[in-house]
Amino acid sequence: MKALLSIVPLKNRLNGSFEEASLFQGIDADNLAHIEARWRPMFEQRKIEAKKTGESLAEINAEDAHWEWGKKAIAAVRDPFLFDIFVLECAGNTQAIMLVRKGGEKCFSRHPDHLRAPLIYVDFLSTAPWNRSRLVKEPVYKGCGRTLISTAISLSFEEEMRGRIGLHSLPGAEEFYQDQVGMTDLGTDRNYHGLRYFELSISNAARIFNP
Amino acid sequence: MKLHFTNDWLRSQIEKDADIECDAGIPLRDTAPIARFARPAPNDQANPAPEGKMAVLHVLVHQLRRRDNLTVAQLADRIRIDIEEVETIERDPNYVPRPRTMHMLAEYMKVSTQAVQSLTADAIARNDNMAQAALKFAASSKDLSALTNAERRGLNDFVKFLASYKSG
Repeated sequence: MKALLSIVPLKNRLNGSFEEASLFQGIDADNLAHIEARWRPMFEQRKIEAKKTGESLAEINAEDAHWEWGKKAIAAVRDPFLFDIFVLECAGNTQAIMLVRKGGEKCFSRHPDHLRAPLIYVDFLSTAPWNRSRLVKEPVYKGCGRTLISTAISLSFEEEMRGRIGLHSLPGAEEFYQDQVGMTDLGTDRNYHGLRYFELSISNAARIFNP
Repeated sequence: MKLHFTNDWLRSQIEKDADIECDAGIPLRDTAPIARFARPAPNDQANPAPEGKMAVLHVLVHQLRRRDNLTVAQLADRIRIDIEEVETIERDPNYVPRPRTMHMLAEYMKVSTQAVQSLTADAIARNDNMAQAALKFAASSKDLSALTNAERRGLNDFVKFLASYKSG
């Protein structure tokens, strides 16, 4: 089921103006088509370019091993009720997508303030390649991550988890989660491709929408 | 689902945020792991449940409420969901409640969340065993304003069936 949650602003970096985007809970065939026909070719092209210029795939977050491992991890969860998926659309295109889970082993806090308390875990938050500075010279929309992560925090409040969320940041996004969202860096996770794990604590969640 | 932020707040945060990447978790490359989440909208009248396969969650919730002498507000309070959602569930056979609601309903009925999910329109259409039991239950539910002895028996039998329900 795909349902419109809200109309939200995204900033078009190219002209500096805010545009109306649609935030949905759920995805449909159009979003899948956008990812296959519009996102995927850009990722593939960028990988080819990276090989030519000597960049590592890790530098552009395009490691095949990580992706293959991630696909299996999601497929292994048989209960679809553990997941919620959100999508941001703007200008007739899928601009970002986020998959979260609401139960299971990843959904327990590692934060010292509330160890083992339940949380919303963000399996992935992905923005379209044309919005990413590591993939294109002039990224288009700004605010996709802020909107989706705020949606995950809202879901945590709705699910009576008091705003707690957890995620593994991709290289290059750590500053966003730590300094701008206010999440706590709980260190490198050797069980997750060496990515750093972040959590939003109850105290920071309580302040985030009411600074 | 309710968002806990305003567009004004969001706009000011976007302006303040540094212009850096924000991707997290698995680096999405194709649709393989998420295709399972893209289903036709259950409220899409162009895709009704096939003939002989009817969604019964709305009937079940209504009858449970009558059996337990609860108003819509009392049931909503008991299972901690919005009154509007209980009303929508009872009114719209094609409505699919959000996961937390299904979980709370399941706890109230003492059945699994999967069993409750299996009563929604899109799930019924994919499960012949459930479709048969649901059809039998719905056929015994004529007058929803009062629960007759026969209806009460039908309801209790159906809840027992749900309690033993195994998905897949």
